[in-house]
Amino acid sequence: MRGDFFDRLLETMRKNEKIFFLMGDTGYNLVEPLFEEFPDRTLNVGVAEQNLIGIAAGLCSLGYEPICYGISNFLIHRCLEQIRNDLCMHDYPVTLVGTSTGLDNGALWATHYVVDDIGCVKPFPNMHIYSPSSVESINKVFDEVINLKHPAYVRITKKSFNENQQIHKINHFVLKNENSDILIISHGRMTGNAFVAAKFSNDVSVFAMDMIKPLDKKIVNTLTDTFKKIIVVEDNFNSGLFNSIAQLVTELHIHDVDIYSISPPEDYGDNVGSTEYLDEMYGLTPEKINEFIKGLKK
Amino acid sequence: MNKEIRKTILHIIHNGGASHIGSALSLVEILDGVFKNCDIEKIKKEQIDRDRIILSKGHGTSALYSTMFHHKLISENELNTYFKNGSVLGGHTSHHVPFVEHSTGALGHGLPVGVGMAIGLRSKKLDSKVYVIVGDGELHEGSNWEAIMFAGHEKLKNLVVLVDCNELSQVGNLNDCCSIEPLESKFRSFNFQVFDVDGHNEQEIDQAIKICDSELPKVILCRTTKGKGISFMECNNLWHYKSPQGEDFEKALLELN
Repeated sequence: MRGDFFDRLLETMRKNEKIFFLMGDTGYNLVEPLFEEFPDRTLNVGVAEQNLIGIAAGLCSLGYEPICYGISNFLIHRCLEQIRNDLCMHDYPVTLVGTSTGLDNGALWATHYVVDDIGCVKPFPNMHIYSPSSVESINKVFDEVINLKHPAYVRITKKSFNENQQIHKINHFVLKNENSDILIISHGRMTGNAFVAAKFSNDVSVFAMDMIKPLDKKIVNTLTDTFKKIIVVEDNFNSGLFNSIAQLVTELHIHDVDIYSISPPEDYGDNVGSTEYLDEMYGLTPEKINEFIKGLKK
Repeated sequence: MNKEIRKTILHIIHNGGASHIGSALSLVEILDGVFKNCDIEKIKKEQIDRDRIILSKGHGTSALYSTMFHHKLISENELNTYFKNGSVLGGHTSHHVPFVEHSTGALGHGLPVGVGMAIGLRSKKLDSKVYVIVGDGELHEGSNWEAIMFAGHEKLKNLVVLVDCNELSQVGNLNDCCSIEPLESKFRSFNFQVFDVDGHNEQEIDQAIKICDSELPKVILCRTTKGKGISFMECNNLWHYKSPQGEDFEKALLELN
């Protein structure tokens, strides 16, 4: 998915002179064509994320719309105050593109997990949060953020999931079955797992919520009209999408829908493991999601 | 002008019941020196090739707003709302005040943002300058050194950093807490051109700002006195917090008159 993003970025920088690409020494073997073609609009600021965000804010004063690229946990946690004060308070059009999301870096251990980022940036005014679910949705998300005049955080997983269908907008059904009232809502890498899980039973639908903030009220209203058991699957603490949906459902006084969360617990854990190993531990594999669904059908 | 700026600071802090007067009084000659070297008309028209000024030690904002008032960037009516309910002129610097480039208050933010502006100007081939005023205590924040290292590496000759070296941070003497000296050799080692001046001597500041004989970013270490101009506030950290009211205000006013 990262390769798709950079292909799109190169093409867009040729047309849009406002884009300034910044990175915190991450992106080997991906960013080189950008630096070669646009020496005046690319910069590697080194391993210094606080400076990275400050520089991006300063560039906005000259009319630039910077894109900051880095590993998600450093891009968000290391410089949270810079994101809050220098970007969100000023409502600057800076896009943070974070790679290695969720449990992508499982074996590198908890300093390199990113399971608490969405909950961290979600309260910041003006911030938009995207977690593209597939190769198809990343292109749609890219087109949206490039025209957005607000700060945005785009969470891009290392894994690739191809829907093999043309999509017309972000936030969309990956799989739609009319035979049951069970729906999985997911984002990012988890959409691929949810898709496989739903295929086990043939009567479960999967909806990709590629845009987490602002949460689309109309869509949540429609989905809760149709589906009465909703499982939110995410490789993030439940302070992410689950929390947003649960809050909105409460605010909308929707009482006839049960909403469940499958997500890692609020714990950084003691043991390392591959992404698949951690998925298994936290109930995020297709098989475990399927077991959860079976439980709901009893 | 500087005496008038100090009087304005005293009045708005007194009227608003605000604090941080000591931190503001050490900044007066620095801020006035910077504004005098900028094309105010370009700032007023918000031209892209304007010089940019960031007060990174945002708690000294009464000095920034008072200096802007004397340079006709803030009206008297606006200024008189300082620290009052409903005003955009709060106790820390806000970009909601017209012609303020960036909101500050949390320390260690202004320099990275200033570096971004300097890079942006260079990228657009504009020869305007970026002035960033930081406190000496503020240099404890590591983000400054990320920005300083990068500015030196990039040889951002359009960046001018002015350090208000009043030697006092919130609790007491800065060097008792965590010494930041020797600043001159530190900045030199980060590839900066360094000037060390009396921060209350307008001519020394002006000369240091005007010298243009280097391809490196510039830092002007301004040796100042916290609370400068009001004898009982000078080097007295009580006036980091205390608002000048009653007899204190009368005595301070008398000294400035």
